[in-house]
Amino acid sequence: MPKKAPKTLRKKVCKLCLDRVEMVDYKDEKRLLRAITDRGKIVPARISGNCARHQAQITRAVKRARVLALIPFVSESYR
Amino acid sequence: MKEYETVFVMHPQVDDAGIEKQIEELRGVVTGGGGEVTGVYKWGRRKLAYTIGKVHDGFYTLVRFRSEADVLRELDRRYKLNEMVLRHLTVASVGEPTAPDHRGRDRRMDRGRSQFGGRFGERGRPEAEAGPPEGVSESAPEAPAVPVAPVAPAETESEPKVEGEA
Repeated sequence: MPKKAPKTLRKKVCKLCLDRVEMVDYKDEKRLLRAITDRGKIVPARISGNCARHQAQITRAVKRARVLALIPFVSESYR
Repeated sequence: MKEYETVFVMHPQVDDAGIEKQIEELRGVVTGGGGEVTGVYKWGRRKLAYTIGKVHDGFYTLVRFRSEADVLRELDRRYKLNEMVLRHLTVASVGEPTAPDHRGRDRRMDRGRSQFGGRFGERGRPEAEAGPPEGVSESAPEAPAVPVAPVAPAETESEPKVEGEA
């Protein structure tokens, strides 16, 4: 079997590291909305390219923001 | 002692007095437990991201305070007793205490101003503030006429735009 040509990979960088974010804030609605899919799921680090530290912060912040109804658990259109 | 912040969402039918009462209750608990309230930030009425028992919006308030950890438990208990509190969250302080969309709106407005300074300046506001170079170069002879709009009409047709906006 012929070997598949390897996909050209581009290294992803953590956007939060680029922005030098110290701590992700659960009140930062704008940032969190970018960190979830249109369904409301948290975008995995595999896709977003976030580093482990920031991904953990995002996860925590999203969960807190959901409790306060700042961002949805599930987006309206998919309910 | 650690700095904490607590956010609570009140039912939209609660009046200002009700919110004040809740804030005072929190203050009482915090100071009673040997802590101190360092700031109260009312975010005002906001739309909820999802409905909570047929309610679509609520009054958000954030309170920052310093206290020992055992105060948090009492806070939680008090919150649960008040049925008008739709949601509440108490965590160690992070970031700015201001309302999320206020920050967002400010940032957006700032960006708008820097990008389209001239345009927004003259369309959005009829004042003389529309000074930025872009606006002036676009309509050089008209720009000075804006502040004296009531007198200017004598100049006739050449500037119907300015009159309409002023």
